[in-house]
Amino acid sequence: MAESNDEIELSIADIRKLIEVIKNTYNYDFGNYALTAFKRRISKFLLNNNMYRIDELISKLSKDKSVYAKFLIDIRIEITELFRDPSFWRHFRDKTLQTLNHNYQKINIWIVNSSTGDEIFTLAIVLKECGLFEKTNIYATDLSEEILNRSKSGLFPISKLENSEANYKRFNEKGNFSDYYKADKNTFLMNGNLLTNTKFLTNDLTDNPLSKTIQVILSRNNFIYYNSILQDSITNVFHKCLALNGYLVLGIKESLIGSRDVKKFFVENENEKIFKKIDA
Amino acid sequence: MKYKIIIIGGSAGSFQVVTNILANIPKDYNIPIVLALHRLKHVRHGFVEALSLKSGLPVVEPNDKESMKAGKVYLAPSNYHLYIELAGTFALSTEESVNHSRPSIDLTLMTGAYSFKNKAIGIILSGANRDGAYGLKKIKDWGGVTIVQDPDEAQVNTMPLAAIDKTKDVDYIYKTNEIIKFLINLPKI
Repeated sequence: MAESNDEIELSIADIRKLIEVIKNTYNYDFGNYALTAFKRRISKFLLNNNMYRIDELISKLSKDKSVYAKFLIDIRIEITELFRDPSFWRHFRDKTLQTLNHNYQKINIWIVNSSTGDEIFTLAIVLKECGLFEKTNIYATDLSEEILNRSKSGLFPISKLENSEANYKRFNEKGNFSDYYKADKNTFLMNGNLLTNTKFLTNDLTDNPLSKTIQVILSRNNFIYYNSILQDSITNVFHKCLALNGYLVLGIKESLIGSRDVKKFFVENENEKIFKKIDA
Repeated sequence: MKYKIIIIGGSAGSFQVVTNILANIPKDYNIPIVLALHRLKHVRHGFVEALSLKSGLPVVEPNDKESMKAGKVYLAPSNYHLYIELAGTFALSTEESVNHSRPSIDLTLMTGAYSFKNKAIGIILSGANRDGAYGLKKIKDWGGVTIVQDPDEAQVNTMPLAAIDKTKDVDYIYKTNEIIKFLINLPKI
């Protein structure tokens, strides 16, 4: 196996060229992705597919739609584990969901960029354990059908299990994470019934994926992969989609600083990065 | 002032060295210091506080897209990689662990090397793995200054030895007090 820090040197001009071709061919703009992470993913994609120059990738991408579909999947960054930041999930269970339960008949939660599905399965377990599963609709979105299919599969590499299980224990020390999956040598498979209230939709974050208002938007560790221009425009979309007093959740090290809508959110919890929409 | 960034990587046995360095850096130090230290993934709080105790400079965990400022010490947050981008801003990432670590010392050094070229200084301290070796080589390749803690002094010498081996001709192999002396004199260069 190649050392995971191996990389192909790419110039900014290389990356601009690639972005231009994708924009012209597939009408999707990577121009506002955060540079370092995007560059590393491209380099990784090249190495994994035995390509050594950006021109090879550009030529294959523009001729073959299936290469682009694969590129879209691989460019996604794994969010790495289930129950990431257990203290967030405890707060979400004990405070956020209780408030929502009190105020709403039905709760709509949007998971932004479902990626490998970690947040979906985590949320479903949280909802099951506090008795709000039936009352909640989960909407999981991502760029392409192929990515959504991967999120849906519930299949995770066994290397993720130890961390996920340890996180879960910190979330609920009395529970058994093993109630929710079956493992074999290389993978573990999350129970399919955790997905019964989840709808999967493609969405590029330029508009509301749903025709209804949303009580919670879970967008943890997405902004780190976008520059501040894109971050600002997505925050604007989020604000429009949320119900008044609805919650936007970001990653622990993400913020709304620099966004034109920053004042339209109240910082509900600074440590866990929970923001409440206070201004329509 | 020639140098714009100091990146220090450390793992097992490096905590005392880092606190010692921070305790001796003057309060008006004008080069940002970035710490990529291996730490427990699930413990978000406490480390910054521990490092701050004896430090003359404020120690912070940067948020995503925060700009680097002189007079501050930046610590890579737990369970994220810390990248240094071209404009001297920080970017965070949740990509897979590198050398079983997140934060990975390699990634902070590599991105810092690329962004700051010959204005970067990389330092590798005690540690029980090979993280940081590839990154320090990148600092060298881009024209920056490379320093490794003397393997004879390091509590665990695996990481210093790996860095020396990978970089080939490391600029300085220093004991802790020599690293401190070097850093204190640096703003005058």
